[in-house]
Amino acid sequence: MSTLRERARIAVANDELQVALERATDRFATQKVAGASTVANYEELREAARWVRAGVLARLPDVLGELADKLESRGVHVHWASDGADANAYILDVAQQCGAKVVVKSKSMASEEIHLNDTLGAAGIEAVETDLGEWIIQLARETPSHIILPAIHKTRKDIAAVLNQVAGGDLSDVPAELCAFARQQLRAKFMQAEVGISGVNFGVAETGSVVIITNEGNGRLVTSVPRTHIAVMGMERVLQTWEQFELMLALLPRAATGQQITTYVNALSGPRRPGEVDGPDEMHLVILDNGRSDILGTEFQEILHCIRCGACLNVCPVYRQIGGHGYGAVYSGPVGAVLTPLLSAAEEAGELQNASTLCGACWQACPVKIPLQDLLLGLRRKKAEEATSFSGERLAWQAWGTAWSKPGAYRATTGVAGAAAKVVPESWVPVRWREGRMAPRPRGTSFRHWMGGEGSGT
Amino acid sequence: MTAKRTRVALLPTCVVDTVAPQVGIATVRVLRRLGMDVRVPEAATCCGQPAWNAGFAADAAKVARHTLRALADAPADVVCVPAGSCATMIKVFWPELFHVVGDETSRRTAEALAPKVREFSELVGDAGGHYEHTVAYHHSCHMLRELGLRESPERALASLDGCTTADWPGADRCCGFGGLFSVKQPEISVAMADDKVDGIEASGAGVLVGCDQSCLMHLEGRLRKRGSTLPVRHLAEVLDEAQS
Amino acid sequence: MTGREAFLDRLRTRLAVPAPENLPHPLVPVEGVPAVAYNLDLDDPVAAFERAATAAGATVRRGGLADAGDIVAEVLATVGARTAVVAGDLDVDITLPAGVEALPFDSPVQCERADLGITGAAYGIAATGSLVLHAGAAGGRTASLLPPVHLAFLRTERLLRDAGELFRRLGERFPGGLPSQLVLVTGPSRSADIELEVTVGVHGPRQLWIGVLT
Repeated sequence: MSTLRERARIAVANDELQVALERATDRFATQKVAGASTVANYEELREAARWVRAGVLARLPDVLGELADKLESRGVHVHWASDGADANAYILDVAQQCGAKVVVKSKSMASEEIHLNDTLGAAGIEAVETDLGEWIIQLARETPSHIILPAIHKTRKDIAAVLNQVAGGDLSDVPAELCAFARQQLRAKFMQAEVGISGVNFGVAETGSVVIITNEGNGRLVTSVPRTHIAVMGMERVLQTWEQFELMLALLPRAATGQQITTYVNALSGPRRPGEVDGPDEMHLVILDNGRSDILGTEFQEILHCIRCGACLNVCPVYRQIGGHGYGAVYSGPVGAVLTPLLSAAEEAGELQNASTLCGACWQACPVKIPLQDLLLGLRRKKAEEATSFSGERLAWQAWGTAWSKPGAYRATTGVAGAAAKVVPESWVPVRWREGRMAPRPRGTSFRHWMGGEGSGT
Repeated sequence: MTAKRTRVALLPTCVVDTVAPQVGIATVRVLRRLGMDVRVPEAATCCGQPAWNAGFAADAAKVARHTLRALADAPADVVCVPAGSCATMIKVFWPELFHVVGDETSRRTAEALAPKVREFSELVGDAGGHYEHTVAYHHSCHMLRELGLRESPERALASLDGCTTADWPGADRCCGFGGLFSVKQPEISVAMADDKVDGIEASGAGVLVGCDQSCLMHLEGRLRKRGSTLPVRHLAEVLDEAQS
Repeated sequence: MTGREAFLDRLRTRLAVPAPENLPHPLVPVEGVPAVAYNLDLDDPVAAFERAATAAGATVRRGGLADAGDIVAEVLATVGARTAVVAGDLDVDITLPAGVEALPFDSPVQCERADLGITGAAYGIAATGSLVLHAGAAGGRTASLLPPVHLAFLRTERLLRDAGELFRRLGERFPGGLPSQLVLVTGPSRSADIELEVTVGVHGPRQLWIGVLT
């Protein structure tokens, strides 16, 4: 796999991508301000949301137990998946029991994480992504570049080209026309599919419900038309009460897109009940661990507070330059830079803690106030602790620490003892600095020398 | 009897000591003009942030502990740091740094010191002076988001006759320096600088001003590489020039 | 051990030691769950609902119960609908004019054929201009979803101030337990997946009409 630098080089040289990223991040910044302004106590709500999420995690086994009990009492099958393979096997089994040839999916980052489509495809089941952006990405054989806007890196021309693979070249690049084509194509899939698979924005334990929040309505179709509905939920995406849900619902759309509320907020509490005309006959909930429990009880636990709004991506100056694919992982942006190394041991993932300047914009945008910059820093410490005692960087910091904890050595290395400020020789400046930036040129005398002479006194 | 002068212990910062002495000198001159008694604790070196941000807590603590002692022992009413980032390291992150390495004694000392620590702009109020320029002010990340200091530098600039502040997009977006980030991820770092520099150039400002010399060094380096001669100044330099 | 017990036991083990406190940015305890304070004028809920629903892209008509027929006629004429599904438990009197086929609402397939879906609404939410629909009512899940145009009738006495009035009193509003599906609908189906340009009707209705009846 490529390195962060290799991916970054490609991203910053891609002019179309840069235009798309700038447009998206600028637009989001304006919309978010507008969204937050419709609520008088936005900051109070963020603080409360952080506390609520912490409380839920502290009681997670009880909350999940209550959710499962209530759902089971309404006839829902609950499956506890310790990892992705377990979840995929269960979902495949259910789909096969239903005799499914076509499965329709609404957006689910958890199913991206476990590569569910590959499992279904290998078994000869066509898994169709129905979120417009996800469908485009699926047809283009790419991966999402944003948590809520998967095709944000593509221009309308790119998208028209992708959809014309299906349409046979008849489509213009007018978004309304592309959407109408998607509606017609995907509606046929909805009517045909035996199984609908969705993600979950929030489980609510109090009543045994799962809530799906969408604008397009595909989340409603997936859960209403096929005979069987399977919901896939990361185990942390749960709340105890509807009161807590009201709080999250006030924050999530505002943080995500600046909307006061999304078009659809769809709460599902089981399969069709007696007397109801439509809806699935069977409902399943897959609760996914897949490495999340390893994060509990650690200094990184707060990353499990995340409600997947994408706000941290939209404000991140690094995301703004490299886009979602620059992170080389399912989850991108600051949340991805924290989550990916924690959920995966891959060497490349372990590099993502450096995909940040620790500027803290993510923390200030986060609707549940996750101090993402602290978590990134924690990951850097973890990485440094794992470094062997012969690592070049470790030895360099040791030497630095020894020198700069002694005034004499500090003065010698900074050159502050001399009368004139030391002009750093060009060759001392790292090439990686010099290629893009001129070396600093100090003016005048050294500061400490000045303090001892001209600037002496008080 | 004259009123007791505020005694200031100044931590110049390693960036000033290595590459930007003019910022330290300007800081001292401005504070003294305000009647403050400014001294530099001889033994103080660096706040330890470079190693801390790289994840090397023990090495960071070694340096920070040394500077903590120098600052805590200094006979001063306030500790002035002419860099938002270093001020944040000392006020916000030192207690955690010492806690992480198991040095609870230093943590307590750091917690006791924190209330005395001021970023430079916090001490200057309505500085006053004459400065006939349109300024693009760069809000540096730690100063803005950790210390919450947006108004103090803006107020200082607004107090100068002839000085106008340009309104430019991305004034509070990270410049891409990020310490070692600037050399570990040079492509992203430079692209971020370009994003800022494009905004500054479009703003029509005649000077770029900030309170963190490290950001300014990075942005100036990029400006010069692009062939721009736009002056880049620390707030202390601006105030010193405005009052001279 | 069952899958559930093993799964939850692992969580209990991990949580036995609480996560370390974040010193620079500690958690701040909050008593209860604060209500959302809207920066909106909600004194006249009907007006507020109309403003918010219109802003979300819905078309709102206000009238008395007797005006329902006129509203239906306007929608039919505007969209040129030839077929419609009508929710069976609609408490306003609707007679479809000649030339418009009424489809029985007995399955999603009928809804898929319809040009227009006409339903009631369990509640309306003034602050956001949202309709509250549910599977327990005769419009089910799909009468409001599959046709390209949805017309909902909302009685003003069913109007709530904000989402909190629904979510904080769900038990009282649904004493027999929640219907299998409860959905808040705000405006027509929309997508911004292509260059952030908002388009309507990508999956759900392209048009949402709301008759607010007093």
